[in-house]
Amino acid sequence: MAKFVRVIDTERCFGCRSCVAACAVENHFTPESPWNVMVEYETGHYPNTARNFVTMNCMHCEHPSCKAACDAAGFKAISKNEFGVVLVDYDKCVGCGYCATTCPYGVPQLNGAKVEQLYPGAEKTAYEQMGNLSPLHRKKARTVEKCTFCWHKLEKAIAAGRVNEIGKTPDFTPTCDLVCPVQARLFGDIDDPTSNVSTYIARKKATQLKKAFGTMPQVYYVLNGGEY
Amino acid sequence: MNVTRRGFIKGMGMMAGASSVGFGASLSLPGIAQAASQAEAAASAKSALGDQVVKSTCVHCVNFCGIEARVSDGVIRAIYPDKARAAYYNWGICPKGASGVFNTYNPYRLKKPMKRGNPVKGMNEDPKWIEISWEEAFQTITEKLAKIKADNPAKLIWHHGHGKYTIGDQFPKAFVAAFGTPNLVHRTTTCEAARHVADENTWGGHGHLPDLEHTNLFLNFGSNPFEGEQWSRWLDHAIMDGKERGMKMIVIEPRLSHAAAKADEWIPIRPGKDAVFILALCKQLIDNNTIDADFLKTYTNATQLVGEEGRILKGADGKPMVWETIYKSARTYDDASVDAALTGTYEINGKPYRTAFQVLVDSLKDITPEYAEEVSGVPSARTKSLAKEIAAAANFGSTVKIDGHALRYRPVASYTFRGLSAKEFGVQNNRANLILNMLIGSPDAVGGLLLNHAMGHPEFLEPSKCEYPPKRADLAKSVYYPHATHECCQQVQYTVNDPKAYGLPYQPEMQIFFATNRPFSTSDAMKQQDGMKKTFNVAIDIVNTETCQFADIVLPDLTYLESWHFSPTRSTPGTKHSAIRQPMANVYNLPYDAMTILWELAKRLGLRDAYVEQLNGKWGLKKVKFEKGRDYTSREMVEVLWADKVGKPFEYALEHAFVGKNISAHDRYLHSVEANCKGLGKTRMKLYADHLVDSYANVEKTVKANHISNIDLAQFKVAYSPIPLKDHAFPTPHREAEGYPLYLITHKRMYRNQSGNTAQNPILNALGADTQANFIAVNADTAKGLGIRNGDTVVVESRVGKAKGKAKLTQGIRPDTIAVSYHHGHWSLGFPDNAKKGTWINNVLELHPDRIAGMNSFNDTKVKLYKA
Amino acid sequence: MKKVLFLATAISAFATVTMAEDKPPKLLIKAAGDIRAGTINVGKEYSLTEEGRYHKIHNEILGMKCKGCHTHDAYPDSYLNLSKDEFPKTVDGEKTKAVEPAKCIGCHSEGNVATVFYNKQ
Repeated sequence: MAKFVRVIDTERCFGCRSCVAACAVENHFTPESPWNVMVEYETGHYPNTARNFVTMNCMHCEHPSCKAACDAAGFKAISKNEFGVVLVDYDKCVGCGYCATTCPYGVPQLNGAKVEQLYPGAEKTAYEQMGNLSPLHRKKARTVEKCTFCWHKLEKAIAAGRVNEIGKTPDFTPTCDLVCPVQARLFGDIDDPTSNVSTYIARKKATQLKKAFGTMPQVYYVLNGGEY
Repeated sequence: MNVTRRGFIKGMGMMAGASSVGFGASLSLPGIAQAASQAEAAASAKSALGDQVVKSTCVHCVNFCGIEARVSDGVIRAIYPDKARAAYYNWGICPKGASGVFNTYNPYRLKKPMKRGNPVKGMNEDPKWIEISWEEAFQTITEKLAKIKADNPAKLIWHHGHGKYTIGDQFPKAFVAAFGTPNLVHRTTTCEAARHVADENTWGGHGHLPDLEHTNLFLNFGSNPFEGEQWSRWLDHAIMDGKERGMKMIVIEPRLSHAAAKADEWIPIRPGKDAVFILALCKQLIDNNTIDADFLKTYTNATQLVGEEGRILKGADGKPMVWETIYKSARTYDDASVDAALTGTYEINGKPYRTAFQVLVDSLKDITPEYAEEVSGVPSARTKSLAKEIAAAANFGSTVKIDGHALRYRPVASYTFRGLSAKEFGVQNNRANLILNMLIGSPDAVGGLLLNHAMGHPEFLEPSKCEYPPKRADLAKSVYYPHATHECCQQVQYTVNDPKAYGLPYQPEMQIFFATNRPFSTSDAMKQQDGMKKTFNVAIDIVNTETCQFADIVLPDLTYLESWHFSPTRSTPGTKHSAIRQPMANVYNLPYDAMTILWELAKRLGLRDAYVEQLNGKWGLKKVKFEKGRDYTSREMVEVLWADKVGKPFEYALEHAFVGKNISAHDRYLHSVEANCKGLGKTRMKLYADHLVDSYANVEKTVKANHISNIDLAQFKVAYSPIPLKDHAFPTPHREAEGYPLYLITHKRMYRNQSGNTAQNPILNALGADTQANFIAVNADTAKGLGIRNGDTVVVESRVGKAKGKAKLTQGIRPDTIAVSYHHGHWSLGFPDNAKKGTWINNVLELHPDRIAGMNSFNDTKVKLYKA
Repeated sequence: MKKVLFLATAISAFATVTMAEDKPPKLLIKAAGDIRAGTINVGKEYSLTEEGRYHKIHNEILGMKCKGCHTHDAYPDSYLNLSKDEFPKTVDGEKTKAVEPAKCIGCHSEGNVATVFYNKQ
């Protein structure tokens, strides 16, 4: 069985936020509920100053605390599938926000009373009126949403029996990983010891963030210094 | 996949009556545009996600990245990078490109032609737009143009900025040539013109790139490919790959840009003082005898003899002379038997002559590391150690074999873009950097600085004629800006406002602004408005910019996702390419784009055939040309260009949008400096730019003969030094702005462009808490001293203007400097409020254009900073 | 205002607590058991508002003080949290403070007192 992970190389990342923009467009951005965020911060004191860039999205943890909280509350709106992807079922979510409080990474985004349109006060664009959307892109008020590893792409690969193309071809690769100008992001199957992600993690000593929580994230980082 | 697409193309050919082979007669333009845009997307290849895939070229900026758009039920759903281009240019795309669908899906776009109902023009004047038909718009514009053409065609001024890249400047150039006006003005003097002019006045061509595949030490003076610049999408991954290979990048600039953040070392230099620091490095290299003397002797004019008046000694045949060390006499520079002296002073016919290199050595006498520290703030110890590092990395004397060629190997490149350019002494700062590269033999060496085409235009190495009276409203190449070979965009409105002050023998009456935003994006920007109030203005754009606010008629353009173009691309050291852009929607059913607007105007003016003739010339068409006596749709125009330039069937262009090839080692390293600067009869690179001495003499002569009072000859003399001087680190505000203690620099950020069409993008505005508005970056310790806390509203005040903004405290800037990005704070009444946030800093910048290049000064201003 | 109150709340609203904050562990375990058994009624509202179960349990029943969790006006610049930029923030005119999730690890890893979210085996 394939298990999909992402590697983010902060040594290469230069903070362009293209992954942030591409995620928003691909996943029909809900204003104020980003799925992907660039954390940019300085360390040191002039002139020995550094700036660090760490993009964050859902870690798709092996032991997702969000799911544990949701299950304990009895809603069971969060699932983790056999490919390692953690998803929120918008129809089951009641918007309690428990997942948001338990996630060590601040990932789940609880929508407000109204899903705002992209250009407030103006006509809705044709993009916003597109039909035929993946259920994951039909955003709801008072509902939690978050990064899906672009599950709407992965599920097509799985359905078509083209799992081996995941992380390789644009149709079957999360869009944030596709657009990076410096190949600071990779996506692939960690169960395959010869995969791009398996070898990269080993070669560049990638690790997970905030290991103390024991959630075992499926997003690995090559770190560039600073505080984590 | 191909079958579907070809089937569609055939259908289009039949429908339009214009096959891709025969370039036959066409239907009406509106019909074609609409049909093409709708049918194009519908017919393209299907992806596994069910999308149609349309390959094209991004033109959000001047990187021209390959893109692969995804269209679902006629709606552009997403934009990915075209992976086929990774081997040639871009691996990915930037956030502007990734969110480019909102350049097109934007309710604030211009959707109909409009004329102003309020005749009064001003920053706060509502134009009271009245929608008009395309017919009325064309008729009004044509009438005005016809009248001007009959009177004096020069009274029309065509401006473009980004428009150069959305349709290519060949179309506007052909139009103005057919019309008869000399006035076509591009925006390069707000960008990097001084770098080009320095190149031109040093090696007779412009454009250079570091050979990053082999560079081991990369010095970067304020080039910022990580926040927006030409070649960004090649430089970014080439730098990252270089760093992983072990290349060291040192970024020298006052602010910790994203480029500096990724560097191995940031050297925070005081703004404007680069020339002194670079010259100090040069002096160290020379004093340590760690220079590439062979390179200087073989490829540059370092050995040529300079007389007391600054001119190079010429022989009877007009050739420059050098000092022959064995027979101790002056000989022509290209005599192969001569071992020329690099240093020394020699007496010839009773007069002393120094070698050009000796002139440099003498001029560097006082520029010690300690002096450089005093001026630039760079510790003297670092200047000394860096000079040693450079020398060690340069591998003097070594060669490397690539593809059978033994090539000079000097893996050190010192590079810049706007960093050394957007200054009052931009040319001289860049010249200093080129001299540094020459001293270590870096030009066209493996791992060095690769020059585009040395001596491709030897006329650039001639003195300027210093035309007067000027023919052009921007005064380019006139006595005012003698070597402004990239126009002088910010000057136009000053001249229009008062042509007599500059000796312009006519009063301009009409200006067409195509995708450019001069009243927003130049220094001391409020002054741009005066000229614009005096002419009949037409603006062609996609959004209602500040320029539109001063227009009499506004014409909406199609966006880059809705229109055709035979697109420019960015060649790299290793690759060359051609590309097209193709439409994938027409969201507001616009019948014209800029190409067809120009065609229509030419036609209505009775200039169609003259335009066609000019087009064939400007595009340099050889095999396939535009034909007289017929009209072309935009697509048909692109078909002609593709057929001539690429030659493959147009179906290939529709499917791939791109062809690329690799450049051989020979063409990469041996076609430029090696081929054109070395040996008999070949012109040497100008370490010493003697022709500037004559340019200055021509300025002086012209000024005196014509009693010109608004040229400061003393300052021109400083600017026209044949060798960069320490004076070039002291622009006007540094000398004169007393009581303004802080340096102000400006820069780009990744999430905006200057012209305004990104300001409304809801995704770019939501890429973080810091993208919708910019901020005033101030050193935290400086702020503390001023009682300013993070987020406080502060005022930045210069001698020419004030601006308010939010302070952002940082350790990433010099304590004596503040930095503001220059693309926020829009004020057009045609923009929604959320697109107007942030600080408009351009109006605080003093304007002191470079006297050689006409380059706008963006980084010389001094200011006060205080709490609002 | 898009967000419903979460990760933050108004400090001043929590004026009363029903149990001492330095309760011995045994009492805490008992309280947790009573909540699960329904002996202690914490309502049915699953929300992060002050009236919801979340704050009733942590604040009213377990006696945790507001400022015990809500410690930051804003997260430090270097804090790696996707929602970091929501702070500093004001809800209903009152300044709210952020919570550092690391504070939750202790109870929510062990399983004696609280539901296990972290360090599951």
